[in-house]
Amino acid sequence: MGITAGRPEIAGTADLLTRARGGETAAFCQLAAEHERRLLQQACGLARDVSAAEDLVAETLVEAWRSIGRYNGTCRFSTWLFSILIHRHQKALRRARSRPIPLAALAPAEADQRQQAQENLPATGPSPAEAAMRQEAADKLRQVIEGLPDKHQRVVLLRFFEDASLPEIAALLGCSVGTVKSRLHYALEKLRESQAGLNLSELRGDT
Amino acid sequence: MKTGQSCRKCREAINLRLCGALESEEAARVEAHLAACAECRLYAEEVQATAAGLRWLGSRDVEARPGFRARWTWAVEEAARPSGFGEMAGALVAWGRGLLQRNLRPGLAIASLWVLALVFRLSAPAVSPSTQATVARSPVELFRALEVHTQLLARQVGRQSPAPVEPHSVRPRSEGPPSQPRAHWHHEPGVDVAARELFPHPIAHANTSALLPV
Repeated sequence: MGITAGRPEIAGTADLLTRARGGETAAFCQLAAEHERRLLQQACGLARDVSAAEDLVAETLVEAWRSIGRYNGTCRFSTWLFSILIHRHQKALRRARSRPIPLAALAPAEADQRQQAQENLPATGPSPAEAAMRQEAADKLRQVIEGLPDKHQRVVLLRFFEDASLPEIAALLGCSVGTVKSRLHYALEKLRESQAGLNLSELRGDT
Repeated sequence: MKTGQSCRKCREAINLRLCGALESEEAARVEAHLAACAECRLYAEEVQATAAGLRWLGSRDVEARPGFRARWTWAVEEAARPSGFGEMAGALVAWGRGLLQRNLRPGLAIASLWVLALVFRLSAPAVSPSTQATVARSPVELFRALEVHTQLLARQVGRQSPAPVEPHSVRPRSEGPPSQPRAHWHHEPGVDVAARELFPHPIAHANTSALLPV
């Protein structure tokens, strides 16, 4: 398949998919377990903390199970899962925006999150100050992404979080490759403008 | 070379290059432009850093909490169970929550009041024709109603209806003695009993007693 030629599917995916479509939850769970770690990484890039990211992944997998019959193979299974994750995340964001949150409730949560991020660091990892700086940079970048319109968010996340090819993205979103290109250009422009003061070059050594 | 138009095209091409969607010919043109344009070089560095930041954000090493797999597996298995009453109830609760989250509380409150009003109205006793007669808005209306009901009573108790009394003879007690002779029909014991049956509500008696012929 031309669209997915860039990165092959994990071996055994086709067989597990067939069984999962037949209603076999064990096959679906086995398939999902292959993608669990990657999905959690992506969810952590979008959610505020690990707990929220885990919830997001669980919701995504339940949704994927319910709509497994709609997966038509025009993109990789992991890309399809990630597109569901983006959709759930955007839905949750919209819900959160429509519900006012008291400012007083935000500050302690963020402080706790920073403290937790520092406490969970392995002994050989970066120093607490460095970790806090990275967490802050991640939060800022996340906010900038959240500020993008939904359709631009989807394109940029599929491209840079999932490494999906442009034809894959076009097939998933039901638009032309030209539209995907123009959305990507717009999104990158916005992101570049918004994070002028953010030094992202230091973050690359984190992974 | 360093015109706004060519810089714009170059920047679009830089973004495409980041996405791996640039033809080799176009890539050569971009390189040539970048060699001559410091602003576009800066742009290319910035946008490259942006892309690197995005890739970093989506691939950080994260440790899942214990029991994570068990939790989502359980959620999938729950979703796979055949739908039943519990699921229906859950869907109803979710729908109700959705209504509340969509700031429909005032609308819901008004709807509940309407429902309550409807239930109250349905559960209230039906209004009998005799009770309707007691809410006459003028002495004349009251008198006509009494006349009708008196005839009804007379039919029920098998007696002859009393002679009709002219409406102008109905006056409040304070205005002195009536010009017409007293209507004696209400002294008859059988009629009194039937009248009580017709006007069982004490308020109805209180409202109308001042207007009854004396």
